[in-house]
Amino acid sequence: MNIDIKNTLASLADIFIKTGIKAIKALFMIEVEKRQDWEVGIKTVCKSNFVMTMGSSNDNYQALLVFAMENLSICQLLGQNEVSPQYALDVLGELGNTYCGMLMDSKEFIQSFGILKQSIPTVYVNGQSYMPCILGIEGQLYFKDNFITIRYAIQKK
Amino acid sequence: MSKTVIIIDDSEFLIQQLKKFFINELKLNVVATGKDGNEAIALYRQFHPDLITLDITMPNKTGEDAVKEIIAEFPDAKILIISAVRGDSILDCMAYGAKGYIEKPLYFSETEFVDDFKKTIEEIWEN
Repeated sequence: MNIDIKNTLASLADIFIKTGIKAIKALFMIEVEKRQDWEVGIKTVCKSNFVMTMGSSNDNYQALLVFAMENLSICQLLGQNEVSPQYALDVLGELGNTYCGMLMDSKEFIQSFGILKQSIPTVYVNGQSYMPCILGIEGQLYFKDNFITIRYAIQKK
Repeated sequence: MSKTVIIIDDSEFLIQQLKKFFINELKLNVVATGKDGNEAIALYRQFHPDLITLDITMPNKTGEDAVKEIIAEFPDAKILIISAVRGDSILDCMAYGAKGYIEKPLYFSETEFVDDFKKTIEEIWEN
């Protein structure tokens, strides 16, 4: 386990959380809140109705942003009865762009990892997604009775 | 009569957000929307809007290329770039003739952002 990255992610927990709150408010105009602390660790499987992944990298690091949402949560977020996989890709992809963009506005993040350029998003629907075995910080942001899980995993190249 | 706008973005979600903003906040008439640079050019020819907004990163034809082609055909076109892209591409778009730039994400819940957005559009039309 890479202790350096583990400690850095833990020390940046507030940045990852605040970025999530700000990104969701910017896109959906709703307030979300953290109800439990976010944790640093390795997670290799993610099971949810909608899972969005977006890679990013620079010369030294490669990272993976993951959003996971249940069907009911994404419907409530968008105020719709049904959300197609294509629309979920559109919405969660924009949220991924926004989240990564805002993270790059954080001096603390950049001092630790530098500026990472994000790639294009991918959405997995109704399945089990297998993630790379790398350290990440993960937690939930709640709105009403629903939540979105956010994970930011990063490793040295 | 309210001014006309065309919105071009490859995200349907963002198109809908912008459309709501233009109609409800700015009382503009959104005459068409499109998802890439090719549609931008075709829709501009068809509607000759008072304003066209362009994302930069789009499939088939980028916003940057669309700016070049629209300005070549309609030198007075009022083009507003709305994009998350930072750096040279923005400067290139402005050099090719775009009249303004709004950086994503779009903070429609923040008064300061909304005021800046309105001011940018007013300045485009004044100049």
